[in-house]
Amino acid sequence: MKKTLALAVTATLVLLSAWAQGARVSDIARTKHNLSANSGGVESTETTEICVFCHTPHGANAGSGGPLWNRPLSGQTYTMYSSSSLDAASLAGKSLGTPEGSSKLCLSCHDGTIAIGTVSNEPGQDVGDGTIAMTGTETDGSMPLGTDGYTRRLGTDLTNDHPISINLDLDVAQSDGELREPSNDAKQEILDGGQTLVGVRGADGLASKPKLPLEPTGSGNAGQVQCASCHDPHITETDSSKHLGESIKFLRLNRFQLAEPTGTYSQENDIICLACHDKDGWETSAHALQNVAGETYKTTPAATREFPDGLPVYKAACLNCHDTHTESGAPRLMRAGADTSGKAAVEETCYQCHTTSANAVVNKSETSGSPTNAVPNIETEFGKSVRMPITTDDQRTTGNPAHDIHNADFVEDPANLNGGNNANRHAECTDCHNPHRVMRNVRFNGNADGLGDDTLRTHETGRDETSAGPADGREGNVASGVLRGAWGVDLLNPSFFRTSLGVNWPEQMTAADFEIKSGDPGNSDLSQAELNDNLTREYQLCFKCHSSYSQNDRLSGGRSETDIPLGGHGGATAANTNGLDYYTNVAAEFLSVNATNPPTSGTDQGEVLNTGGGADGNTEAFDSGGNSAGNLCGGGGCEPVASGPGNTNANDTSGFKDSRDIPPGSSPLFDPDINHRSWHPVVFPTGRDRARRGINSGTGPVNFRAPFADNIGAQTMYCSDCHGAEGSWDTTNGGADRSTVQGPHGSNTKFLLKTDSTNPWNPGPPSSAGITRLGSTRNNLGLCGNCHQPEVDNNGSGFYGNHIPDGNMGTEACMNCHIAIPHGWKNKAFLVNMRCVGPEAAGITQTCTSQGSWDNGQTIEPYYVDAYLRISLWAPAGSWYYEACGGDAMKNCASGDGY
Amino acid sequence: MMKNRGIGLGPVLLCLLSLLLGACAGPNYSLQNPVDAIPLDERPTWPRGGETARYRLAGLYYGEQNLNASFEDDASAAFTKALYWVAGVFQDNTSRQLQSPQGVLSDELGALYVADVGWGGIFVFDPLYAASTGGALPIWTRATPDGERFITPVALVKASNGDLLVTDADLGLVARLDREGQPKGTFGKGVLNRPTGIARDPARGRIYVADTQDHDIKVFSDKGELLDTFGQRGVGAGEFNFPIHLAFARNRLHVVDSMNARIQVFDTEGEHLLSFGKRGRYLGDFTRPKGIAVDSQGHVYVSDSFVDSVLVFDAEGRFLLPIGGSGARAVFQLPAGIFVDDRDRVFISDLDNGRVVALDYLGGS
Repeated sequence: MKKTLALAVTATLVLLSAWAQGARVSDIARTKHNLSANSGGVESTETTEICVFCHTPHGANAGSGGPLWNRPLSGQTYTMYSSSSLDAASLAGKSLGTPEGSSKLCLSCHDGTIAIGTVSNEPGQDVGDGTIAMTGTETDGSMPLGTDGYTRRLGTDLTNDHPISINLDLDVAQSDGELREPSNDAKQEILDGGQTLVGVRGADGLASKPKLPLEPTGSGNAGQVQCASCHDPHITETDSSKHLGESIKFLRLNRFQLAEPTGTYSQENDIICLACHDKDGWETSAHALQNVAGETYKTTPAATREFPDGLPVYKAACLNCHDTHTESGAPRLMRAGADTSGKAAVEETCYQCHTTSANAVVNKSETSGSPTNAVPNIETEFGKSVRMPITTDDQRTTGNPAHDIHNADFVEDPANLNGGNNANRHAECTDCHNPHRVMRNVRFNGNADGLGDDTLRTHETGRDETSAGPADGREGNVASGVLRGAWGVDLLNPSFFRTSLGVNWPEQMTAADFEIKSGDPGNSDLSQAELNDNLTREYQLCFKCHSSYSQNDRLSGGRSETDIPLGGHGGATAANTNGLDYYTNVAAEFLSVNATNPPTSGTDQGEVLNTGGGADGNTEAFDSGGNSAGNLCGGGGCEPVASGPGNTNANDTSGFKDSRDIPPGSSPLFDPDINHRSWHPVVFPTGRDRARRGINSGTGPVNFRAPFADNIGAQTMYCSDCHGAEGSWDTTNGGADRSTVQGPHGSNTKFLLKTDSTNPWNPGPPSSAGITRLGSTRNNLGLCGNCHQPEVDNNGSGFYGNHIPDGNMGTEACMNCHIAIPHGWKNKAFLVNMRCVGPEAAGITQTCTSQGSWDNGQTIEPYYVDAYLRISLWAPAGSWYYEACGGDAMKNCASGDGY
Repeated sequence: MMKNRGIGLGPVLLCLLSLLLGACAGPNYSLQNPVDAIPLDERPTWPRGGETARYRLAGLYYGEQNLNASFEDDASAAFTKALYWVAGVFQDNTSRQLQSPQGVLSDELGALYVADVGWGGIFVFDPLYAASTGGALPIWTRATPDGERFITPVALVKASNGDLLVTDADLGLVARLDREGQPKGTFGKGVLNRPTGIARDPARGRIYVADTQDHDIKVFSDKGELLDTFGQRGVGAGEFNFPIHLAFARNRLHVVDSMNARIQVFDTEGEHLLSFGKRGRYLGDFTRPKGIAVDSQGHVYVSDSFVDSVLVFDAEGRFLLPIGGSGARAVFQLPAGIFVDDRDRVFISDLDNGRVVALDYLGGS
């Protein structure tokens, strides 16, 4: 009894002093864990009665007789279960099936009977009374098959409950990459200044009593995370500024973030999670900063989460998206991260805030708002008719969603992205965004290279700043902060690939042609794509799903395509749109070029200078009439990778059109070997500047609209300059309209294209084949017209003068003369040539055959949609003449002779 | 010849039905479990260590595989014996499986109902239903006629007409489901704070519900009207500190008075008859008593989740033997609700192993 008295006195003294300071104190009488039946209130001095529920006194009532039916067990006591075999788990998933140590005490009450169970949230994302409309039930009304994400095991999939009975040692920390590293000894100590922040309870040599104790319940007494590592069942907090008026849930350290994180853990300011979880990029990320994530929780959602009213997002920190005891079906402790049928639905977590202002759990404005301060409404984007398959219902799978990351960079196995099984194709928010790393900045590496702008929410089209080299727009495809720390793929060995371009269109590629770019860039100022192992370019992100890295590349005749059919999932572009059945290999289209960024002499596409470098070896005089060799390849011109237009001279068996095929008397301007591949500069700039193109050298109008008029030939662009929501392009000033949501989430236009909403997908009269066109009126060219203005006046268009008569061209569609999928192409300027159609067209086996006629446009998937153009001679830029386009038919145009 | 225990009549009935359905040659959907493959004399018994066997392992129920799989085909006896103790061997993480079973109930047709607080629903292992649906395992998740889902279904009991009554601790009510799992109504909302255990006195048509956080027992009629409330928080006779599961047998109501570390027994008038058990570290003492059930001879079974044991007492509260424990004696992890059927088969919810363990009482005293 004396011992008890002394204990009580000490406890009281400790209490009094702690009360004076305002801190976490052991005062169980004031907490919900005061289980004493006589607790009339805190006045109860029966301390032993409060303790006894978890602390059994020593040597009580020995020899109580023992079991009558089991004599050998008389007088024996219970021992806690421990077994070395339980620790036989792989390094990647140190989790066990059975709770040990203190966790057993907790769980024996927190199983839903005496106290709330570990599933503490109501099912589904609804805030309120928890009534869920049952959709997708079996015929007997029972719940559909659950996801395999949830198991009652506290562990391997990190679902539903924070894992316990896991070792937190150096091996685990290094394997994970985003855990603070404990010492590699029996103490497993993580120090915070001179204090032991994490360590094995009771180990020798600790600097001090660990704030977050690991229990020696693992094999060989290895320290493990248990319930009591984060929770102290006796504890209460007296300082209301620490708990902000809400329950601290018996947490040993802060339940909320109290000030912005600095990257070094602070017991005073940081949320408890950060004591162990050291997420790369968190301290600069959007969700952690007051001036970016200052939105406050609405009253009802705050109450459901037991947050204080008006808590700002940056203070909720991890708890915005994670809930250590979350609903059934949610993966990785994602709050609200399951759909109504209990399947994993990561997007539901993001949609808590990234939705309309009415539905958001925080106070935010309705529109996506300004280019700077906004919580973009993404949920509405994914409600559009053409969208990435983000919900499980939208995906082709009939079972569980395929998305499953396997490291802190969110990298997925390529087999998971596709791998020959189209049911795997998916797009979760975290396939493109890493919410621990996203930052508000125009560049992915923030201000590290001096070019960042943290007032901009996303990228700026046509931005010409460059971190190394002139401000010529070569980094106009750099990923913005929104994509920071995401992962993607790029060419493994660009120089090898460039020299191996073959005959098939596009090149056949395999997964081995790519390498992964991932990780948080930190303060790296390296923005060159080839040199930087992190994701630096938007296209790298897109290519991981839209390339042979994950798609099955297959040859259809001489054409490389994918095995992914159009249609077949929620939000898909319908099968047979524009005659297309299977998607082309997008990355291969962009990469089947011999190019670099920036353009370098001898390796970029351009036009031959005609000093003997033509394919037939002849030297032809090149009187450019003012055209010059351009400046981008050091003034020496750039070698083309030519694809010949075909031979129409029966006497010429070279296979290439050359001077012997030119009608007698023609001007030597018509050098035939002037064809080359073309591409939109998403990966590489074209290398073809104004001079090279013969456009009003230096000054005067050009056939490009802002922001692409200034750095012709050197600039790059984004995939999302063409792919994104309709209405998200600024048609007045040009460029992305950053007050709208950017990015390829959803659009009401096919192929997820960003056509101006005032200029819909199918303007103009249908062709004879009944195919709808992409833009057909002169001044409103749909998507193409966002950036191109081919009708601009003399010497601005690249044509020799205007294409006269413009009147007759006014109702022609872009696709009458240009290919339908303008990623990359074997001819210059994406021009079709129906005189020479090869195996790039479905069903054609010859390398160069004539298809259709001037009266008979052809639709042959994938590239030809109502295509008419017939080219006899390829002309250099600025030097096209009617005879180049076949002569007779052109001459007969109504209002002139086509000169 | 040993008595035909457990699913005894089941297969006979089933085969007859199957004849009618024309499916006698097809799969047998009696509740199958890995223990079936083990010859009776090779199954583990309790007490251990050479004493007279009183209990024998009869079954392990995990989920869907108990209705689909044929364990006899894919396991030799030795393999099964070696592995059946390891929870998880017969589990399949992609199908319908018990997560955290609490209350358990079996009926005269051999169906097993399990209240699962992790999943938030009632698992129905019904061999007849499975036979007609190709092995389906329904999970009833709707608690109320207007579609509210279960949050924490704890315990179950059969109502007078064969309906199922289920307590939901977080919804604060008792839900009534019919034989197809359709919610027919609720009672006790607004009256019950945190209902957990439930028991029925069939002779008097009374339903007892333990209200854990009110520390009392509420008595309802078969229609769901509140008749009486007895008990209050305290340590005296007839007082409770977090009462949980209940069992009504032999005209006595047994209450697990968990935080007082004892069992209290009352008669049908609410008079206290006896209390037994105490807190302590010795075998037979309680730390976290949870589930309770009584067999045909008046033996009282109490699960203690902290020490992973089921303790068997006689009707006077004398301790007879423990089943389970730690280390080499381990059987359960956080055992919860218990039910004994009229053939003295004992069903124990093995909560953290995600299964129900069935033992046969072999008789004798």
